[in-house]
Amino acid sequence: MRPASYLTNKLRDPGFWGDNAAVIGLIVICCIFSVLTPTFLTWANISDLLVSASILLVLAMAQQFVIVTGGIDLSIGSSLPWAAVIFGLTFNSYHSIPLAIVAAIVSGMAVGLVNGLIIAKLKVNDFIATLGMLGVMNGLALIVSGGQSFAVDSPFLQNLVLGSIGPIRYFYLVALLIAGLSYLVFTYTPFGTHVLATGGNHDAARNMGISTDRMRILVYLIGGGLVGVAAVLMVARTGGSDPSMQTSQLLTSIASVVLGGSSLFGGRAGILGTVAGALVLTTLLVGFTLLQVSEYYQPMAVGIVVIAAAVLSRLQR
Amino acid sequence: MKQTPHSLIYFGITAALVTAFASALMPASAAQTGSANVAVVVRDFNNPYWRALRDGAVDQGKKLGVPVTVQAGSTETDSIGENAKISTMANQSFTCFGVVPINATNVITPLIPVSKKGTPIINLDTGLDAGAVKSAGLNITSFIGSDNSRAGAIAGDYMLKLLGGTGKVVILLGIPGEQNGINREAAFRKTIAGKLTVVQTAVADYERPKALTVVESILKVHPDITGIFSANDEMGLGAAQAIANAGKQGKIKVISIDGVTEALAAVKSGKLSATVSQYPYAEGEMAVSACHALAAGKTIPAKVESPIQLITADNAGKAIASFPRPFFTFDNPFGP
Repeated sequence: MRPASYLTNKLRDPGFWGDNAAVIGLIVICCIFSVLTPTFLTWANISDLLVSASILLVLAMAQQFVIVTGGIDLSIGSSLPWAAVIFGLTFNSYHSIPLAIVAAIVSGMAVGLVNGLIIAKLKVNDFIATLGMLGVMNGLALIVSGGQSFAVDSPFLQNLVLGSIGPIRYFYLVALLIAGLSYLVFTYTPFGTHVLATGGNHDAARNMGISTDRMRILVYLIGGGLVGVAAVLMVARTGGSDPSMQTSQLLTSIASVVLGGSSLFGGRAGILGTVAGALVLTTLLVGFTLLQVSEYYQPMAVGIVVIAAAVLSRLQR
Repeated sequence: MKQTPHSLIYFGITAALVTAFASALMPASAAQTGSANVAVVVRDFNNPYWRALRDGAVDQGKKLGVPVTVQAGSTETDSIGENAKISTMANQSFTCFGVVPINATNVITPLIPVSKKGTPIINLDTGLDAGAVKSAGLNITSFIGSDNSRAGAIAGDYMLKLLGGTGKVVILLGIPGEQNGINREAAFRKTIAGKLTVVQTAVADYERPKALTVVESILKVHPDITGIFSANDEMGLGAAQAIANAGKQGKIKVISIDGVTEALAAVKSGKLSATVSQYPYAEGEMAVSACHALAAGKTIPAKVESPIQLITADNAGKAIASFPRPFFTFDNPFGP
């Protein structure tokens, strides 16, 4: 088959558009913004765009693990500030970055473990269990921080945001590394396959001898750990720990995964799609900012793009 | 294969919608006239307070012939979204930044590249942590904002006057950790200390429905309170509603801070006892004037206090008539 006809066949296949809705959307949006504003396609802008997308990207990965099993993690809206507060308090008392990073990840995993146990062992619906934990962790974050936001001042954190290896900034390197690892887990490890099976067909997976309870606890645990990583990035980016709930991050993390083509009913992981989904949402924000689109239309436009991508992904094979 | 046109239509719709939005909504002219090009970033546009700051900045820009762009995060606590806006705008050709932080540190890191370019930064409304600013090597040209401690003290003084210097009161707080709210509360407490008794302090996240629920419950536990101090107008209006519902209007005084239109109307009608009006509109105006002055090579003061005024039933009419501008003259270093 000649390459040209291979390409035409691909383009004629509705499944191709459906499977790659987010990536195609990202390319289209980038092309449009590049035409409309000269600033968009500069390396400085792309690089800042990737930095801006990094926290969302890590949160979307956390959400991806959970959504593959048919679950959803609403608690990240407050486990993110919770881990950020633990990170800040640990660093401000011990002045050790490695210790503070470990504390952030462990405190995130602790939330994940509780989520997993409530869902798998107490048989509580994911939505309700994590909605409950959203409240619990919001309260805990306020309690341990005394309801105050505080500065976390470290050259390491500043360098994490602004520093780079050549033109590549450390900040998004962390996020891309996590996305890469997640891809490997789902594609090449038995654990990844078992998680997919748990979400795809729960009973069949159990009959095959997969401990579905264990899988569900593990995905929340991994998700929690990733929220801890996102918290470190957030403290670095915002220069401090703030116990306020981050509902906008919660909703966009779910939107990124769905935009990427993963089903909310589980059984399907699309790491590339999720990365593209997170980038689409950030690109819209950045592009509209550059174009000075009226702020009243921005959320509306983002909403329409999310729906359009969802419609496109209905053509999935 | 039959579905091909179908899929292309979906694709076309997506592309068309995006293009339509992006192009149709671009401002009519982003012409780079004059020497200043001002970027203003506030927390969000859901709160009328920040909308007023935006309107002041935009109106002043039109008056001075200076292009002004105002952007915001999606919620009052969306520090990540606000930072994304700042990082994006840092790559554009703005000559001056006016920024309202969400907390004492969140905008510092994204502003470092702006500061390194030598672009002046004006800290608006909410003060940044001086230590963190210094260690980040950030250069803040000026702070323009109202003194929230003074607003809290004014509210405290008036509460003392209304209650005759004695009685039980309740304090309604906004989002825990929000600096302006902390300053308002601390100053109020200090002013009434030893005279009024604070029987309960409740958090209502700056939201009206939450304050309504909270105050309804408080009235059951403490039916003998005679005053409520609310850290913002939205909660004050919720409290006033709860009091009206309980048939106690006039018996329990409510004083809040901000001076949004609805609160001014409520003060005029007597539902709300008073509001301490701050003028975010004037802050926005002064921010653009400051940027204009800087572009002309002038120096500006390191700290500019925007006006505050106690609004009671006596002057509410005047306040409404001149809203969003102050009805009185105030010390404006940039001229009227």
